[in-house]
Amino acid sequence: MPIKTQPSSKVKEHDPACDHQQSSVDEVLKFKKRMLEWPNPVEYVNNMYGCHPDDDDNEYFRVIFAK
Amino acid sequence: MSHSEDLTLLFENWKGRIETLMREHPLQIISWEATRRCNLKCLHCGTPSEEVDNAEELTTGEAIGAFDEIARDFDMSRFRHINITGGEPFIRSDLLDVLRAISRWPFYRNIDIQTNGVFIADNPDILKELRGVGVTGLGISIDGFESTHDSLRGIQGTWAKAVNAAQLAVEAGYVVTVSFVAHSRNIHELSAFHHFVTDEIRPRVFRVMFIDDQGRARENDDLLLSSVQVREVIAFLKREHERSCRNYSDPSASMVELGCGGWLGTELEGRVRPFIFHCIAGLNNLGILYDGKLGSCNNISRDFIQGDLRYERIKHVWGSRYLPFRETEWRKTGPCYKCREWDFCHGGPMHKWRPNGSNPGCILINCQILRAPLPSTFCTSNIHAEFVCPRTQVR
Repeated sequence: MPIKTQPSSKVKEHDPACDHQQSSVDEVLKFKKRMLEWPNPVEYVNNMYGCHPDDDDNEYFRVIFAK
Repeated sequence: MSHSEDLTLLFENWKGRIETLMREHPLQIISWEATRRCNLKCLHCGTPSEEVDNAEELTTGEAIGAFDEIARDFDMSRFRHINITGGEPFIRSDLLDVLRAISRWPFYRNIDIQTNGVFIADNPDILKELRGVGVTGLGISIDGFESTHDSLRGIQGTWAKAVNAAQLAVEAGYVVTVSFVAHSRNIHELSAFHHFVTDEIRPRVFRVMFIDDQGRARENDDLLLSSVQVREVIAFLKREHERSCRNYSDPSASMVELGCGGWLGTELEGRVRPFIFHCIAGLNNLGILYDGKLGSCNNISRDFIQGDLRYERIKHVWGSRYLPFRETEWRKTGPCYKCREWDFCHGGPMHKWRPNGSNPGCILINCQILRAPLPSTFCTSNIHAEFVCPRTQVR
């Protein structure tokens, strides 16, 4: 039995760049969720007013942006 | 649970924690406007020295006394840091004396200074001394490449000094933020300048702020950005955040962020900077202004001053006033009145507000980031008639 194939115009080509873009967006959303979960809602804003994003041994960044 | 349901719930919980902060207002940050004097005269300065009487500046003893009073009176268990601004803080010849005196308190040993870098470049040995008096962070303003930066400041050579100061500070181990005020004459070089900064200076943070319609910028309004230009800047930040945020857990990585320009909406918040924004002025951030008046950030209108440390106990002022900062209903007017984002931003950054209840600067609304274009008849000058400011109780 011949294998049915879709017309080439309908086949969605695999685009590695798209995959990369999607995984990047997923990652950004994952980080965003962690920001919202952080107990102090203005943890970073506090630091932004100064120059201390690395207060508490960089804990905020280690947790929020962990891969 | 879907992504969006998940985020909605998380935002609801986050909002609850903001409301707790507004209610409890623990003192965590002191912003000290050390002076209004400055060695430069930038065209876009939001806090120019000519607007005030510099003879009223706090003396050495008064400045030290204020920090000592706070140390004795307040619960400092949640205190985070002191942020010193100006004017140019290093113009104060007694700056080190003040820092030396107050840094004997253990919670006053996490201090940062916002500077134009000129003094540091001319006196690099100061970096060693600052370390000894509790300074850990330095914020240095650089607004683009040499000709752009220098022309805005009116003095040749200031760019080279600012860059040099930032490099020396990074080398000396300070946490360094390079601040870039985006305006109409420099946004075309934002991307290239960002590359230059990350390659040649390597600060922890490259901060972009929007020029505000205040101070000298009001007289130089050709510097103000159009909505289209603001959107371009936000697009740049979003792109850079997406490109580099996975490296932010590494303390040697350079981050990019939007400063406190305002609330960007639940969609964009957390995607253009490494945090969700809410203005903290008057919530946990006490401002000591150059003359001892008590407010919050020094770019907030002085009409919102809440007290005077020369005549009042700071703890009393902090504990019993600051209603315009903490009870935000008076801002729920005009474009904010039925805004679906209100519960998240409560009117956005306090420095955008005028005592008459007008707010010329909501970037979310003005730039139509998430919304349909505003009707052409929209006018902010007549939509605030019904506001009541809790400070003055004047309708």
